[in-house]
Amino acid sequence: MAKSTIFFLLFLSFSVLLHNVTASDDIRCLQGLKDSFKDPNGNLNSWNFSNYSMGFICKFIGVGCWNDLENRVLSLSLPNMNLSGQLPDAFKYCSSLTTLDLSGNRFSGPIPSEICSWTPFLVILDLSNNSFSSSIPAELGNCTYLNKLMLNNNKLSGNIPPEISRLTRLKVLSVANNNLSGKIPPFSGLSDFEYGGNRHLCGGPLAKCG
Amino acid sequence: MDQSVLAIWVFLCLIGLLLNLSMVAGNAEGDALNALKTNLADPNSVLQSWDATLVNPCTWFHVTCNNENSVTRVDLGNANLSGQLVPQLGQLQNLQYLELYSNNISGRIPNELGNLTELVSLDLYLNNLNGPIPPSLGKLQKLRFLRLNNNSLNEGIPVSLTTIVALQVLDLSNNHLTGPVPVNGSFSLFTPISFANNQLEVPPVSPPPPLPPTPSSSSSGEMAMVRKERPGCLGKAEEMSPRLDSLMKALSL
Repeated sequence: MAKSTIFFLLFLSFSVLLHNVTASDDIRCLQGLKDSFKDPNGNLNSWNFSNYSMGFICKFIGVGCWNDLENRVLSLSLPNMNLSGQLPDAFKYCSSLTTLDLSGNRFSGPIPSEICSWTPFLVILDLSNNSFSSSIPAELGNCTYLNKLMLNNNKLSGNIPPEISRLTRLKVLSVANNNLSGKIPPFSGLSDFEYGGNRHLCGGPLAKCG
Repeated sequence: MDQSVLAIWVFLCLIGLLLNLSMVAGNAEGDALNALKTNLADPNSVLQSWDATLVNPCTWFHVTCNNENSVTRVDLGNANLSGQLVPQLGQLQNLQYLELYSNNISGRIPNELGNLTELVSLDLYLNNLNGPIPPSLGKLQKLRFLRLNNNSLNEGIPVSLTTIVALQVLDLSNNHLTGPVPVNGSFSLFTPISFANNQLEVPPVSPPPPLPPTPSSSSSGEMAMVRKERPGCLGKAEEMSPRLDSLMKALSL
């Protein structure tokens, strides 16, 4: 009798584990973001995970999916939502993400150096108008497909890593209004760029260094 | 007397011609869609309302018209349809959304779809389409969504597609496409995700330290990127077995 109870419990635990584990990666990603972000205005209230159905996360505010039939996130646009916190590693479960726009919020902490291993296919990364600090990670140079990088109006310090200047698809770059310093590395192929508002940044289109 | 009779005949002929023309114009789009219906097997009877005797197709289910009674949308996704597409689809001049995804449609993509210059969304994904992607699709300058993934399309990716500046979402994955992947024009925005699981020539996913990208010689052939659709069930099971082991140990079985 005891053994059958144990087997039943085992089966139950197995199914619970199985459910968590087979929850699609992208659902896990968004769940992680919601848990991690502070959302005082309740802007992410539509992010409701109580009922799984085909493509349900695609109806969440700010979430764009690759198509209607899969829970596979293409873009995340959450601008001006009074969100705060730091960027969590839950992003690594959004492996098909190509656009990330978190502009106009109150995110803080560093730009994670792992971001391009979490979401290696980023084409547009907009973290502008937040409170990100510390330096721009050189590892952003691993986001091979990046076309547009907006880091303006934050509290970033240190140099602009030369690795970013080697991104072959980068066309739009803004690092304006931070606390950056040092020489701007040589970029080629930028159609739009902004470096102003960094007192100790020099070179490029700005005043010559030293 | 003869002249007035003649005049009356001419007048009647003109009226007849005008009536004829308006009826034909009203039905041209209905005829085009009816040609599609004739070419499809429809076991779920989703096309039951498609009555070709009506003056226009605007009352048909799954068809949407604008206020000039011209077809703007065809929504037949997930409808258990099989059979083939027809060139007459290219006659729907105001069509903006062609949603035929997740059916069992076979045959080729008609070149005539390139005539649908108002098209915003072309969703043919999850079907059995074969043959090439028609280069004429490059004429669809308003196209924002082009999803042809999960078919058996072959040959190369037409370079004409790189001229479509409006393109936001491109999915050509899971086909039998060959040749190079364009990176110019609008294709600068597209990553290996859009091209996965084909026989395309794609450079390695993880780039080496600063090197200009060259068409790879060492990694020709299928890109080894598996899209996690059924999220690595096997991988997750492997992760799980240690937990199961410790669970069983805890229960001392």
